[in-house]
Amino acid sequence: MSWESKQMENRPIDQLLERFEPIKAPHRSDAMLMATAEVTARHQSAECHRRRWLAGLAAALLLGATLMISPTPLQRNHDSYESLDPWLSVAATTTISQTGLTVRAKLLELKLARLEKLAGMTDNSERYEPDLDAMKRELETLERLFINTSPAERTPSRSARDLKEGTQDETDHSIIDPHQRCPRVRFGYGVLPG
Amino acid sequence: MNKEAKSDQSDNILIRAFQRGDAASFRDLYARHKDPAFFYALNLTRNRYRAEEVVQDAFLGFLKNVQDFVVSGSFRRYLFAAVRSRAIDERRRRKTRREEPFREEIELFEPRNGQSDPGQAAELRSQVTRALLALPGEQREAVVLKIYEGMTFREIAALVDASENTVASRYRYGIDKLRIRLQRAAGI
Repeated sequence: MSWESKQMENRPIDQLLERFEPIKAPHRSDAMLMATAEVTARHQSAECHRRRWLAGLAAALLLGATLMISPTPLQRNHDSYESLDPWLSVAATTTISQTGLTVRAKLLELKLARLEKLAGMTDNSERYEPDLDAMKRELETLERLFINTSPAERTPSRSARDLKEGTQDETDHSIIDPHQRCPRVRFGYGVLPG
Repeated sequence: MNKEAKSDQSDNILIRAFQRGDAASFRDLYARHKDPAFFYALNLTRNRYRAEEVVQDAFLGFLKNVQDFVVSGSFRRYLFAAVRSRAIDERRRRKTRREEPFREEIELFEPRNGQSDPGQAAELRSQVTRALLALPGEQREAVVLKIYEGMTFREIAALVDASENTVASRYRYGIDKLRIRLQRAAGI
């Protein structure tokens, strides 16, 4: 019996196959693949750097935006309305445009809950009883002044105010006296008294 | 953790390092997988040059898409799937061009650890090669993946897109044919 026959007899076929070592790959494509890998790695490195830079920029922008809208003392307020009252903390940010004509203000924090809570406490109320209504009125005034109000609304022009109120002030030169039959025309308007 | 899982984990570390721009990581990855990929490709194409081309193409595909490559599962499975897909494409192209199949004498195995091969062992090696190459492609594929890659039938089924039972049948038929052929060759 030959050597091969003995091998076949003694071992199952799969065990026989396992004895053989698969052939190795030639090295012809190694250099080309490595060169491609080098180029790809450089590109990947640059891409990683770009992504990290963008992530940093996004984080900085996010942080900046958070500080801009955050009602914390960290923000740079032009006007701050904190501590109007020991029981009322109001923070406001004001942005003044370069022309100085537009003033936008935003009320950021109103700790009414704290105020009401403290006002309801008997111990504190003996010591200090805040006037909630007065404070709310004050707050509303602040809001009117600083929230969503255009300069025109905050400091209305005389004509707008006149139209709204239906009256004219004393500086107007065409006042009509209801007790006079004819309008009293002041000097200087080129109209002779009737 | 078994050996294969450890290997997969270290593959994934190398891939992540390469994605960050470390070219040496690819060198290690290539050195680790090119031989098994080539052996698999050789069994699919039955031609050394085509096998080499298919493996090279599979690695190039990985390099091209490495930026979006999601590290999950086994890199070897990914590579084998790429090799298989390219081998099938290459066969289709040849059929379309109506090229004559070029059957060269190839060796699938080499002497273990580079030692000199006794004459009888060399003869048996050659017989095993011929017997394997005489198998239908699907059966040869199942035998090679099971015996030389240690894949389970489930893993092979996932790779070749067939059911586990089908793959197990292909393997059994393949082994039976090998036994008959090798017994005949050995003169039993």
